[in-house]
Amino acid sequence: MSSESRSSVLTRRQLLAAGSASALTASSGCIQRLRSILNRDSGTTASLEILTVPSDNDELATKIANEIAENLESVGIDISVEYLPYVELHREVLINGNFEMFVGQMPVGPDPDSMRGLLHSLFAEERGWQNPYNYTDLTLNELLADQQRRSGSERVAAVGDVLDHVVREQPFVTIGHLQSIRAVNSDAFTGWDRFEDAQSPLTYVGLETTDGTRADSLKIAVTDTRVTRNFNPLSVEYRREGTFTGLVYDPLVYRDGSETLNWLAADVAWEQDDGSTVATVTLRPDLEWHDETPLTAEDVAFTYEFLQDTSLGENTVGVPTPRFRGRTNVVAGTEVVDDETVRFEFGETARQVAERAFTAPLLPEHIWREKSADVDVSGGDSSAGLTEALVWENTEEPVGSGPLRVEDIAPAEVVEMSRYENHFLHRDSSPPHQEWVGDGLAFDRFEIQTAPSDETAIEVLSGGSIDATSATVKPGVVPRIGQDSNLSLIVQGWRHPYHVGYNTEVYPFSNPHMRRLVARLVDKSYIAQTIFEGYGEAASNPFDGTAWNPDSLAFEEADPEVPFIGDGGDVEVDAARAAFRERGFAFDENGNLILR
Amino acid sequence: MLADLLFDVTVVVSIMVAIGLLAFVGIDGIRAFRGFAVDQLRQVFPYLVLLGGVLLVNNYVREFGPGLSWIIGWNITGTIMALEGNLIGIIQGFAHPWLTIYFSYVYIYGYVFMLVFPIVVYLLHRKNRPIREVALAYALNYGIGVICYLLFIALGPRNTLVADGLLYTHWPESQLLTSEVNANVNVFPSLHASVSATVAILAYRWRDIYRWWFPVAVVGALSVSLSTMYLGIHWATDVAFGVVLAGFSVGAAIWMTRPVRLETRLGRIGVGLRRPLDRRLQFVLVQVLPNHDLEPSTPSARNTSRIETTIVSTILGFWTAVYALLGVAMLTGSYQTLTASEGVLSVPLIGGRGPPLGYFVLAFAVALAIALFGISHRRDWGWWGGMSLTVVHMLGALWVLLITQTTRFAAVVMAGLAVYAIMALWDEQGAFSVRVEVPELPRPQRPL
Repeated sequence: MSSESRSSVLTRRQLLAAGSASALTASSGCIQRLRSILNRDSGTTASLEILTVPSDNDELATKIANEIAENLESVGIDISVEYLPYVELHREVLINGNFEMFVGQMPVGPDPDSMRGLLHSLFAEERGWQNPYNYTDLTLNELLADQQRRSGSERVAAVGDVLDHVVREQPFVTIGHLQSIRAVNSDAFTGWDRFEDAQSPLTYVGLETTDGTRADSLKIAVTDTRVTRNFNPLSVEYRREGTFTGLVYDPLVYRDGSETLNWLAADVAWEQDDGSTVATVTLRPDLEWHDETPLTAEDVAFTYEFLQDTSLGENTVGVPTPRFRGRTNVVAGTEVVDDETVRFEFGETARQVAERAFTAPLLPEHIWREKSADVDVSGGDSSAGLTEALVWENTEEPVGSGPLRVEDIAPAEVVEMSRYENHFLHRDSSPPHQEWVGDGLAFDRFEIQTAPSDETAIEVLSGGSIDATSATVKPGVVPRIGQDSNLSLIVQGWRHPYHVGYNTEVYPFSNPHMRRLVARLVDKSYIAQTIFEGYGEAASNPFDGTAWNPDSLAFEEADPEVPFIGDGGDVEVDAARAAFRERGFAFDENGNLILR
Repeated sequence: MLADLLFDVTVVVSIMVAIGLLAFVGIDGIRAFRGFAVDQLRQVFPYLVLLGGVLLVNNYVREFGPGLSWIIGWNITGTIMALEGNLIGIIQGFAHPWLTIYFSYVYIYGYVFMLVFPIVVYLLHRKNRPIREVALAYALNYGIGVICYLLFIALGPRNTLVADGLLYTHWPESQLLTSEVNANVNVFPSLHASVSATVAILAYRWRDIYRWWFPVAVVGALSVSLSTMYLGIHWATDVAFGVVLAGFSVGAAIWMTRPVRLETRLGRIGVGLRRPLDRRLQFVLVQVLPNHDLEPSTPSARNTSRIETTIVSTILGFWTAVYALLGVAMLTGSYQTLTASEGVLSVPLIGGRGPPLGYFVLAFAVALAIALFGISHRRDWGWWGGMSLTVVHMLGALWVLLITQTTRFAAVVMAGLAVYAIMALWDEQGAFSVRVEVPELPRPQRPL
């Protein structure tokens, strides 16, 4: 779609030029005139498309997209909504870049440096969650680089500048944060909200049984069946937060809020070496992968090399991973000191930012090295630049190092995991982080069952055959949870905001005015009230509501930069059209927006 | 929970079928079936096998279909939405809690009844053309339907939120069942609409056989079609296309079953293809069951020796005991410990689904016991034993088939047992020791 509209614009311009030039020659003038008139008529009214998922996947996204489409239509923009299941949507948006705008959640981490991965022009050519908006802006690049090397209050100010710029330019429209909602069986486990990040794999690691003994199993229901079809932590189409793959693929460190938990790393020593940040990571002793191969410093170094380029240098342009890219590209070099020690160089990067790199999952070299081979698959738009690592399903006994190991995966049905007794949490009598995760997992088996809808999941939970739903269920089922006195509701803050992503590379959203005008047709407070049903808040940017957000950017009553033109979800059509005209747009006699 | 629902569906539909049979066929009609059951089954068997095959393929394709559809298919959700606008929303404007309950039950129970009942009811009629038409029309519906599912990607109104998914908000458990059977991108055309319309059209065509079934089928078909739209599952376009598909399927089925077809070249090929199969079956039956003359009217079991009866009853008795024990174990839950270790018995189906399955297994035991009783005491009970075995096995196979993904093995075993039971029926007098000639009841013969 994008390339089509672009090339048709070019053709039309060329034709117009040719038309006026040949108007002097009488012989062909008539035909040229006809052609340019016909051409002009065919392309005048704007026709846009919003991509989102069907309500089976994410009812809130479907509702938001419908709401926005309705508002745009009322102003005179011909708009249609295309509903694609998660995997197809992600393939179109994140891999093929085949979209104008989409509605969904933005996987933005708690550290504002994640904006670098989402918006730095360095990533515009790459596939995946790194700069899916194809946004290129030199000023923003500088601001992002600035926050990357600063720390303390200087970094807060630098982040403020980034957010300021993002809000002004609107490469995407941040709609608001939804709270994480989960229903649990009150009698089984406690400690569901111990971690600030409700999506953290640690949520499951930190659970305790109500009676203090180890339970036989923890069973939860998910409505998103992708985890049963693909267990590859690098598969961008199949991962949301990677909570469940996170339980199997351990990182070096976990971060939660302001806390850092050394995980596979026993110790991380930071130093400044000639202006460059350097970290020496010492692994915990005697680590092993689930297949009993030792986990060594070589695996760690391999992981970071592999995430930079999954072809390991075989492909001339490189095939970076579509996930974890922003956080790991700060690694300038690794050096294996001995079996348990790796030295990381980060160049000019603040420690706080550099540390994000350690939250990426570690991959066993003996399994993943051969996944660097090229594949020939029709799913991507060209076979060149696609490695096995990015398309591998990894559902046959995935080998990780986490506290849980996968026993069996039945597509669309269930993922069964069991406690990995050789994990460092389970080996020692007094494991680290006891205040966070006790003695490790409080259950022997973990089952992720699929349910066709949140309503069904609640029914199954009421029936007693599972212990909890996954986070998050939609706000609409909260009354159902309340009806069963055996169930508890766990509500937590959540960082992944809903947003409208634009393809800023392609007209009309290459025009910042168009982006801002469409943003002004999104009634964020109305969406927070009616679609989030009060379980969320409108936001001006992904960090609205955190300490990083400058006061001037706080969403209060209305958006500070792109306030809604209208009230209570209804657009004031005349005022909206006036705003479009003011920015150089025009409407035809039927009231339809004209785009070139 | 899915198992409970499937159990409910099986029980409710069985009761509906039983009531329907009593109402439209009558006790006398059912008893009369004994006289021509063997002949009828032999004639109709290939058609039922064809239908079973199409349903099995259908099940496989629906499972891997969506993935393939995204590669070769055509996404027509937008086209349908543009075509009919807010029609489904308007229909839902009439929503009322009572209507929602009615249509939900119609969508789940009513549809399965509409699907199963014609097969049973026409099988019991001496004419074999209606049942052959039903089987062929169903096979065409499902065959063409599944090809459309492969070619077209379409999401229903509830998924675009043009309308509410009333069924699943009102009755969430039902989605456990429907999501097992079909994927959410398979809505064009509506097989609910096409199958129920097929049933109604055939009920009209054969209204002389079962006069009162026709109005019931029409009400049923209208309710089922309307329910798919009212519940926000299908677009009006899907239903309209479903009805067209029904018309085509019935037309084609009638064309394929017309008597002169046997005289055509294609017909002769069909007969030729069938002959070796028939001969093999006959051969097998003769080997397995000596002393048996395959002509059903011949009272062949007259000379069955006492020794054979003992062997048969010992085998049956053994299995009766096994089934009875298993059934009781499943019902009391101790089967869980039995299956805790890995093994053939721990088919994934059984995990947590013991009790409902227990009823089935007990039903097998009861059916076997009846057959056993028939052999040793009341010979004409043998026929009823065979009949109940067949029915229980077919229901079991249907039940398991619906939970295809992990239990296909069990479904195949069940279906095989059902086939065995049918063959036993075929060989009624030998296998279940029925010696009594069944008197043929007078039936009013109407010209068709």
